[in-house]
Amino acid sequence: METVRGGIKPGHLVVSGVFGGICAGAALFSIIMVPIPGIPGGSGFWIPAGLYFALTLWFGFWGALAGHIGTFIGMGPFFGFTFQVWADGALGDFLAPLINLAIFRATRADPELKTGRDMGIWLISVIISTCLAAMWIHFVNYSFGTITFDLWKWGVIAYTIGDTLAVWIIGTLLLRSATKYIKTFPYYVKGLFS
Amino acid sequence: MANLPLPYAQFFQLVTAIYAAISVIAVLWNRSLEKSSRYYGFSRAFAIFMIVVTVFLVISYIAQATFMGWI
Repeated sequence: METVRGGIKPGHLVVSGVFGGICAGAALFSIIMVPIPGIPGGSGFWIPAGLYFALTLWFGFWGALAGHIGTFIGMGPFFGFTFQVWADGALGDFLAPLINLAIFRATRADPELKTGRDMGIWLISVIISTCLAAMWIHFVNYSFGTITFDLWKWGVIAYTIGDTLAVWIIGTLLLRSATKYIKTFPYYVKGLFS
Repeated sequence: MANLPLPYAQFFQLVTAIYAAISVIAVLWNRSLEKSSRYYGFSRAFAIFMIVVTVFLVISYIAQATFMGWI
């Protein structure tokens, strides 16, 4: 009962909006779970990452957009960060799951993670994508003079570890338990947009 | 620090309660649908998604409450 690949529908935007709102609540309350002194927006265990990585493998671009909306709202207005810091963080949270999606599409891995190959690709691609996003985010912060180069290194390490752990735990749980159901949904995305 | 409409801990509790309520509604919605329904798969996945989010919000609350001395 899997859906065939169709065009972009208004429902895709609804998916982004609904899950973006859900991610916002999680973003708001995981941001200071493990604050990292000197690194704005740092969190040792970033719950929304596990959500939007799974959402992106289900809904492609629209899932990543949901993560972007959620972290943009959740990180932004409430914690006194400058616009540059939270816009940059939210952009990184948009790029990371898309990199992961690109790896999945390139390797033709299945997000149900039923085989050892799919699970291996998932575990490795999460590290690669979070590390690349971490380097991007902290490079922008470093360029704006928000952090020093010494903190850049620690920021990249902390972001990569924190996001990877959250995605491995929460993302794996979601993908293993819910992907088979999502695949029957008309707005399941097999490419990037549809 | 945070510029929230309620004190952080109370706002956290309120949002967690709302997420829990949405989880219950999602489960009830799924149970009301036939397996042949177009939305059965989505409602099932949505219920799982909301339950997972709510559980991790509760874990986050307990961790922060312990860390910040709310408990």
